[in-house]
Amino acid sequence: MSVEWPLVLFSLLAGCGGCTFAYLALSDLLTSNKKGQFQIALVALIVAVVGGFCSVAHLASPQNVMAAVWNIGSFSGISIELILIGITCVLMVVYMVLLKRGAAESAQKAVAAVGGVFGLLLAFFTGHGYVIESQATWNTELLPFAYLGTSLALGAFLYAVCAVVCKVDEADLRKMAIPVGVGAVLGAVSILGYVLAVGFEAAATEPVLLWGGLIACGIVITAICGVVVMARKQNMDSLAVPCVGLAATAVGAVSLRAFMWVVGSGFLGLFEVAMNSRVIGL
Amino acid sequence: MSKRCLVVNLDRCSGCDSCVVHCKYENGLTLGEYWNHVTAVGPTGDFPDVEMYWLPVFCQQCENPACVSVCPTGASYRDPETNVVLVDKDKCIGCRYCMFGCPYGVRHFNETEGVVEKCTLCSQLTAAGDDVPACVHNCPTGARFFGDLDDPNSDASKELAKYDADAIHSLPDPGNAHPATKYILSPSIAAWKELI
Repeated sequence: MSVEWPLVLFSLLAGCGGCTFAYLALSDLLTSNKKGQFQIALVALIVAVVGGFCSVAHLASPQNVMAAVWNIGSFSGISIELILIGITCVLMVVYMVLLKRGAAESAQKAVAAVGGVFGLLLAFFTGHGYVIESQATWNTELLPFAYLGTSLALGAFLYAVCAVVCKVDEADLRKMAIPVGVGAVLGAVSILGYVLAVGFEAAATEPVLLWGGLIACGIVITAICGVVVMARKQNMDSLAVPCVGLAATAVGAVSLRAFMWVVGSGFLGLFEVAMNSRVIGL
Repeated sequence: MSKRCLVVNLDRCSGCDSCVVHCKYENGLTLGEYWNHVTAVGPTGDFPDVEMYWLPVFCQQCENPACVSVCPTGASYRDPETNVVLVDKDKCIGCRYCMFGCPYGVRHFNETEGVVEKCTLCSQLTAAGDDVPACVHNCPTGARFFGDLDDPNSDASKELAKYDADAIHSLPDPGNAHPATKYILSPSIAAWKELI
């Protein structure tokens, strides 16, 4: 099956934005210093919104998205994604408004926490719509968990990069080291889980994606960067490891999504067989 | 509610593609667009014990159609009167989720109109219940039968009634789709292949 790039970019960016906000929410709960919080929330919002626009490019016409909005109660895969990206983005905006207005700390933390949870749900459900019985290589819950895991790793490193750029206090950065590292490792583990679910033999038919994108970038480099961050052996205000981790995770996350499409062959694909050869050789 | 679908007698099908051609004529399908196709299964075995059969493929009118459940706008739907799975082009947004959900790969994306299309069992002819799909009418070997499987007097039911259970087949089910279309293939002609 050919790669549907608008959907790859949608799930990548929407999930990344949602998980970046989840890390922001966690930092809000763990620390009291608000330095950089607004800027990081803005980055998360922009990434998620750009992702949403990417999904529109998949439709026959961009204006058709309104038909999906009017039928949001269908609770199909697309409508669930629309609901979640809408709620998540609204909560991001509310959080930024509360920050700007200096609202009560408890209100900020509550909105951040709820928004973070919705961000995680968004990342999960961008992959859950593909769990359908007609696609054997998609029909596993490990697929949405891989979407969530890679989004978590992306969000972790994007949060770390933004926090360093915004010069968040090193003491606060250290409190986030373990969660960032755990997110990266979970991303690596989730990719491994999906590859094993597909089967290594089938996965090996795509050697560039498997060895370069998934194993080298998505698993090895991502996990190493996560462990380095957790070990806190580098200066927490250094951009080096978060940037390398972000780049490797992005390649791994794109590879995972592209891999899902290229190994998706459908259950029987009878028209394709008929048009290509007219013969089912058994 | 009726359960309209096709029954194809593979003992008679010669693979001539008349059904493909008349489907395209009747439904105005453009070059490269198909709602119905015929493929060969086999040949299998070793000479002189070699066998093959022709398998016409089209929408199987699944009882639990994934194409309907994944559709975000209700464009893919089951007609409550005829039980036929159809596409409302005015509602289709061209997301192609139904094509990903179809287990049999028998839907077509019309690039010009930006909508997904499929076999409608010639609903423009058959909705009133007094005509048959073009592929059935024009099959030169009389291999195709249309009707309500819940009506024992329909052409489809009467053809099925002529055969033992070991000659009546459905395409393999990925799980819970339950394709309604039936194929007749007698063991004396060829052994049914599960294709997966």
